[in-house]
Amino acid sequence: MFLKVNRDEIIEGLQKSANIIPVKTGAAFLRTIWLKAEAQGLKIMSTDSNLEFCGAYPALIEEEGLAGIQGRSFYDLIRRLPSGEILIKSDTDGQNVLIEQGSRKYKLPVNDPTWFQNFSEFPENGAVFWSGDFLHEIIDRVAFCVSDEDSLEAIACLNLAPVAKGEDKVVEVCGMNGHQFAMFTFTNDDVYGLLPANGALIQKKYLLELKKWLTSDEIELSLNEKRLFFRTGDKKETFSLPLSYYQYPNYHNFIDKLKSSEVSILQTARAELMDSLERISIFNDESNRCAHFMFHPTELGLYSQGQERGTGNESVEASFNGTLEKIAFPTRVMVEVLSHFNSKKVRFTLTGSEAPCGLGGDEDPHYLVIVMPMKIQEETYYSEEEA
Amino acid sequence: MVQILIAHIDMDAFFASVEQMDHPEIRGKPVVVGGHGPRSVVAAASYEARVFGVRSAMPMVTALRQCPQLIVMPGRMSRYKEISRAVMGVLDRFSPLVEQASVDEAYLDLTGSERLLGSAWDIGAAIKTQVRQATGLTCSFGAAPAKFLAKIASDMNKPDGLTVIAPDQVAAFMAALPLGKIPGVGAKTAEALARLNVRTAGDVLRRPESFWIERLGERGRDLYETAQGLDRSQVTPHSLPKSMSAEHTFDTDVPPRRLDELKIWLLRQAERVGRDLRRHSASGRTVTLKVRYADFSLITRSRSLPGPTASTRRIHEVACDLLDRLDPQKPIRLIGLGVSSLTFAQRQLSLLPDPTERSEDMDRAADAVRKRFGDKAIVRAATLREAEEPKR
Repeated sequence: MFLKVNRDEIIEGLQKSANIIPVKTGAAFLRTIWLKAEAQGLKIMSTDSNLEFCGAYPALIEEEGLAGIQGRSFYDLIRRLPSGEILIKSDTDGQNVLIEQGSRKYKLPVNDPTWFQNFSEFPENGAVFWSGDFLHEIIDRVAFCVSDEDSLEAIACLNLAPVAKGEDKVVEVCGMNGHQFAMFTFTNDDVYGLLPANGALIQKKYLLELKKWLTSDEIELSLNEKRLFFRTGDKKETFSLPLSYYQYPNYHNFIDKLKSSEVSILQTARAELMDSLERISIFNDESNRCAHFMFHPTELGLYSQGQERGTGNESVEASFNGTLEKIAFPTRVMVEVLSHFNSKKVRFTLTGSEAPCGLGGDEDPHYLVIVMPMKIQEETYYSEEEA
Repeated sequence: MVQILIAHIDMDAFFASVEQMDHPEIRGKPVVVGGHGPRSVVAAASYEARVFGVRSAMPMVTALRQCPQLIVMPGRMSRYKEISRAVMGVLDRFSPLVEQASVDEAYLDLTGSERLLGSAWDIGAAIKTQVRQATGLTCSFGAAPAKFLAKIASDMNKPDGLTVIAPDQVAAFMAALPLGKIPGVGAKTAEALARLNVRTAGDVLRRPESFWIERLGERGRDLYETAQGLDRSQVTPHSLPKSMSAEHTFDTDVPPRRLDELKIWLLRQAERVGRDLRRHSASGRTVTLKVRYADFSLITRSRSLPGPTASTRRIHEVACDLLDRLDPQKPIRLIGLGVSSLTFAQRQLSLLPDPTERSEDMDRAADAVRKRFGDKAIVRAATLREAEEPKR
């Protein structure tokens, strides 16, 4: 292998490639970045055995070949080199890769090329174009509700589900962690058509890597039975991740509760409520994590207390319509949920003091978050009656 | 800067001393508290027993071999807790910051108290007198500018000791302190350090901090700080438990094929742990199974649940599933389970149908029955196969 490449042409791709390789653990070949010099240019590839990255970059190829080098060292070196041409060359016995830039000369040992396994090909058939920044926004607004624990299988995944609503072909993107649920819906016939009828599940840990890879540019999306593929609009970089196959819980069960005629509705200014909750949270401690909401027709009362922290009481202007008197939510969770909305006013749809509460807003017409309240246990559960 | 003053109070041979106080006929004799089973261990030894080399945690068989005239008393935890409450009541008079470390020891933050209560020596003497008046028992008092030093101090002149390490004595004290006395330095670390000819805290300080950080990372930084007598840990009153657990050591090893028998033990333990959780208004998200094989190797397996639970049935189901997946192949000496990732009093409800909610209601009803009519008033039928209760 012998090639010449401009440092600035590869540095971003190299960073993306280095991002997914395990830093400390994993077999040596997983810590490897593979460089493949072929007639069309230089390919940079890496995998952690689940995620795969492959980027193609212009280079002057003197001799085709393949070399696997310690990814982190290679990236660190290229990152620290100034702009300009870099010469990358396998030595005569194939034991090292020589990297040169002017008078700078480095030698990196190579891994056995027999370890190289072909990367998954982007399935051209059925591929659709999509907006990178839109996908980024969806991940931001939904992933925070997805459970962090892999052992929880389906609810450690983001769910992309195609749902036909009359004439509309809607895609529901949702995440939950057992206590919170977030859903973002959008209409896109192409993405709808691409998804399997049962939807596609993506583990949260892969989403976070996908976010690092995404830019605001247009992307191509495709999938096969096992993997979901993302490719830059210029077809130079491909990122793919494995799909998960679990039974996703039927979330329409609890969404439907919000449609009952017996719900109570609270509407209030989002920023003001967040500020109040931030202050109220000062009085929370390890065993008192919630903010109590007390409803009045034109006002929302907020209250929290901690054994060693004292008590906090506030009220914010609100409009309330319903029969519910009070409810408690985990304060920090509620602040985080509210931070994902754009609306000036948020609407709480309350189905009971121990039942799901839906949050929505006029400027977030396609976004719904459901939060479960806290169960406040009383000190005494059973009283005795004299016979 | 305010000079920190921490005290550690440790009751002397607590369980054994309570037994000797309550049973005058065994005073002055070698006494231990513990069971009589073949695998029982010594929970506490009187100072008369210690003369024979009998120590806490020693197998009872060994203790009896070393001291054939040893008097073995069964433990009475409720009585020990009663005395413990009296001791803590005394300590509360001396500081608002009292951290009960166990049933027989506590830390007090006495920082700034000297003008009000006198010197550390005066406070120690007053505490010892008042503890003796309240309980009839002696305790050992240690005071120092750091928590771990206070504990070391209370252990230095047992029984009935009173030791104060003044701030200007810390450096000299640390210079000769064996590494094994430093918290966080276990036997293996001490052995590894001994190979570097580092045997005391003073030896640690002969090398720069960077040397230890390079070799031990963050632990190296902690070691260097502790070797100077510095300790950032504070006296924390009312700390909530991090986990609740129960375990049982079998009198004879259980063959691995007898999974059903093991699962009955797990049910008893789930009952015990579930009840503890409910009593504390707590629930936990992580269930851990613990298995010690006859060859003493220890296996633990944990699973996190979608939401916290205090349901006996749910805890038992998860522990049984962990046991099935473990598929033990060797005879089992001990089995136990624990619940961790606890939340107290308030918990967020589950979005998904929670099958354990009704089961928890039933558990609470059973708890109320037991509270009024005793532990045996209502039991799960499956646990009736053997009468023995699990040990904590």
